[in-house]
Amino acid sequence: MTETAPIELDEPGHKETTEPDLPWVCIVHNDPINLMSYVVYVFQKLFGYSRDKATKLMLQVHHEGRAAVSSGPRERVEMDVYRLHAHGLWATMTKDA
Amino acid sequence: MFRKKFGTITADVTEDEANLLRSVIGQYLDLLENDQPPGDPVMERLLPSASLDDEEVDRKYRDLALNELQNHKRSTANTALQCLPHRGPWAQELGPEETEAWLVVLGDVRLAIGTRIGVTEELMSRPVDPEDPDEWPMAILHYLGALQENLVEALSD
Repeated sequence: MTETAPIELDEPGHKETTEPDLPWVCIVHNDPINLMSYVVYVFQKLFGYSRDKATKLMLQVHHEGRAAVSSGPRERVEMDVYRLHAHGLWATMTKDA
Repeated sequence: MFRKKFGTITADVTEDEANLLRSVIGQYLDLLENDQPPGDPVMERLLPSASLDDEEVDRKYRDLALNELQNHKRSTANTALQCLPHRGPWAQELGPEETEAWLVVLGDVRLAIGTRIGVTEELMSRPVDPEDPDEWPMAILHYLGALQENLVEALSD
């Protein structure tokens, strides 16, 4: 592959509003019922996180009330929310600000 | 209780415990299979909103996922329930799908019971109070929690 000179794609007066898609974030909320050990297990299993990382996230949920556990395109985060709900965790999604 | 033997999870549960498990999972399944009044806190906890403040995000998510999530929860509860013998103690080697079903259903039944009686972290950290009208649900909540903890530990061995 060779480097080519940059091509000017934006013609004046022809601008589309294609601001880059902001990533979505999946948030897990604290609840008084789920066991800490189970939540760590679910984070490891669903996201492939190490035990350390999963434990840190669980503690953040526990102490701060919530933690962002994953981010990405809308469809993927929707899927993460679904998988967390399927495991009984309280998850929501929001657009990264 | 659950333990791992040569890489396989085995269940070893007394008759009384098996009866209790059959009863609570059966009631949980009834709840999922029958329409509940709108806004029922237990259903809202089991099938939660996907957004705190954006109805559109939640609506799209529900269109996409709600039926599947309900079906998934029903089939998980059924998989667990079918492991239990009609009577007597429960001793069985669990396959991966059955293990997963038990792990999840123990949590979901706890969510249903705990939400119904409005449990808090503070209440969960106290010993069960015999004077509490919710003494029984609290005791079941703790029992199911110990069993789930036991399964998580066995899986992490």
